[in-house]
Amino acid sequence: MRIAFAGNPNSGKTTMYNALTGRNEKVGNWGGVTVGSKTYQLKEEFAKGQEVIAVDLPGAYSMSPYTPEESITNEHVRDEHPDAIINIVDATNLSRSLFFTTQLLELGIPVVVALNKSDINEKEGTVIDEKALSEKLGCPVVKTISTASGHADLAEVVDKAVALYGKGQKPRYVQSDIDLHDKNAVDAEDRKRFAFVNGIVKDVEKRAQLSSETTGADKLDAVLTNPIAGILVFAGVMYLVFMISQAKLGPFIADWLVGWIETFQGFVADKLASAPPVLSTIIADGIVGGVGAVVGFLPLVMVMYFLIALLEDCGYMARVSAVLDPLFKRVGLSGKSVIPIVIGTGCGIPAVMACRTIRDERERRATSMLTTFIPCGAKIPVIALFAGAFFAGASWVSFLSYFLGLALIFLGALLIKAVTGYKYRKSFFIIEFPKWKIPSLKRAFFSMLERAKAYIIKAATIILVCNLVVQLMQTYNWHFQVVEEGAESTSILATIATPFAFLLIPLGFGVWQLAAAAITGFIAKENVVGTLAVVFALTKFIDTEELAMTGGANTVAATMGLTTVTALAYLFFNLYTPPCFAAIGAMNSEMRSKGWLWSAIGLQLATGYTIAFLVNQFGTLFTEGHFAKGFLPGLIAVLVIAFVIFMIARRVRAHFDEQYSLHQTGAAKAA
Amino acid sequence: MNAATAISIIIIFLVVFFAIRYIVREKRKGNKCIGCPYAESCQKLQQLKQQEKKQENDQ
Repeated sequence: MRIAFAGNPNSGKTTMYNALTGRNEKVGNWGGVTVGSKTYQLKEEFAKGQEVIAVDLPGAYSMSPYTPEESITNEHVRDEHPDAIINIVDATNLSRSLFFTTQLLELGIPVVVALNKSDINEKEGTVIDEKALSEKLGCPVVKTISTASGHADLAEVVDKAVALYGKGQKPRYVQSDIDLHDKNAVDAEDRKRFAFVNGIVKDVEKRAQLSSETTGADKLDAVLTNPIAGILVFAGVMYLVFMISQAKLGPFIADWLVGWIETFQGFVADKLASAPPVLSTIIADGIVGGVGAVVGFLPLVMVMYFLIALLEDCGYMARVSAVLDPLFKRVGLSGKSVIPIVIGTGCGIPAVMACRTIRDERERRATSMLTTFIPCGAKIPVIALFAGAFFAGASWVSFLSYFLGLALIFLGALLIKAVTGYKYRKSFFIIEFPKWKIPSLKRAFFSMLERAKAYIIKAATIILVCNLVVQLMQTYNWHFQVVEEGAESTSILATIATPFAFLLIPLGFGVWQLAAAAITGFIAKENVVGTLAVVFALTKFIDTEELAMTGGANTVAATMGLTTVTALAYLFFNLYTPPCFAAIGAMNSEMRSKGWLWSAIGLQLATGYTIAFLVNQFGTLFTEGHFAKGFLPGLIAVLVIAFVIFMIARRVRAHFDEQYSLHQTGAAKAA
Repeated sequence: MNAATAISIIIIFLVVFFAIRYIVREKRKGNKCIGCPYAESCQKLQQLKQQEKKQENDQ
């Protein structure tokens, strides 16, 4: 038996699906978190010996799809013919939710209504008579709280759905036989349906507080979504997040962890004292040191994820989406582009995937192209390393990286708009604000643990293998002989990375070690830290005592040989050049166009290069009174980039003229 | 070859073997981002896209 979970966005479908199946799919308190269908068997305690498959569907407001994910729900319910539907209804917003319910009831598939979030209704003094509602709809109705621990209510919902297997249900409202191509007739029919729904709600619901009344939460929303105050508050909140995670609590825990890693590394090196030096180096420096350097930053990443999870859970991030929406529309992006960008703080891959909720193809591709400019969790160790080694762990470095990422999204969107000859098109972004609540520490903790697990798995697999390969390439030359001290530039790694390093001279970090670290970053961004640890034989990146010293005075900074200006340039280069290969793969599947994909990679490379060039050259000019080495070649490279973009824009516009001109073009006339 | 050398070779071999085996298995499952807690959701999306592509091609 297959049961489909359908309902409005943000009604709690995935939370219920997770509770019933034991899965751990991503949940959120805004619509659009689920963008594809998911299938899994119900837990034995709910299935009770039967094989019951649950299908979690994206949220939909009606059976007439408006967004791509609504189409998935619509097609599944119509074409796959599930044996029953559990319609999850947001009990706090009954009148809006029942429109979809009445449509589902007309399909002839047995429906059980789960009145979810009933706990919030209790708190607000809203009473729903579920027996009366059941009679009026003609289907079973059960009050549920998906987030509660007991789940007896959920078991009741499943029991009722299973009991309806193979049986029919008679809908109380049936749509008139209208011409669905006639907009006026469809509108009139929808109004009739709304009137029917409102009639039901009037009879079954008693509210202590009417939604038309202005509450304290409404006043708070007015401030937080104000175009100016909202942005300022957002900036302040993000500054606090970065300060706590990367300058206060995070390094405090990390310092303790790094101490343990160092002790372990010393222990391993000690045990391998009588082994050949090459083997000792590979294990102690390559495997333990490289992986340890990445793992050392885990507390910083965990604290940041914990704080972001708290912000999401209390309902703040949904408000941020509304604040950024008008700004995004102005630069030719969709209001919906905000969601991928908010998700991108965690990981670029789900962020790119979330772009599929954007209807317009150009806007969807542009968002996929730009969303990875927001520093993801994998880039946090890189930011933390440079902030710690060169800027005394100042939280403004992370803050600047984040908001520079946002600024680059705006500038990139403007560029894409200019290149593609974008014409103004009204786009709508509708988001339902979740109710404000005290965030669940438990949920934030588990969300953080999950991310930490992912981070450790990545460190113990991809990063470990990469560090080992880097260590081997650094240890041997092309004749597979061990590189002698003082001849490091003859190693395999050095000879491969040196040509790239040459290109990076105008950016201020034209040495093979830094070029090699930037290259390995394309496999996974954490690799930048791991490779730096291997090539410079550094491990103790986090040292709270040393962090007090700045400007290259500490061991890490002195070994790398960078100034604060070139360190910032190198950091920005790693942050804004293309993301890891996995994210590029996700971009490829979302864009479905090789032309757009290569343009995205080109744009990101150009952005990273240009930003690093500007930071290095102008930073050196301000601090030392002259431009840095390689100014002219760098300037030529930037001008070439600008010329290439200009030529692409010209080509695209020329095609436009050919495509849309009402008169014959010169070429066509000649033909 | 002394004991330390032998042990180090075995350690390198085992660590690398298990790491690569994990990566290969995950890639075979279609997981593009090793360790991602939501990888399965992403796989589903991939399948969905393939289905969509097939449908488009059929049409």
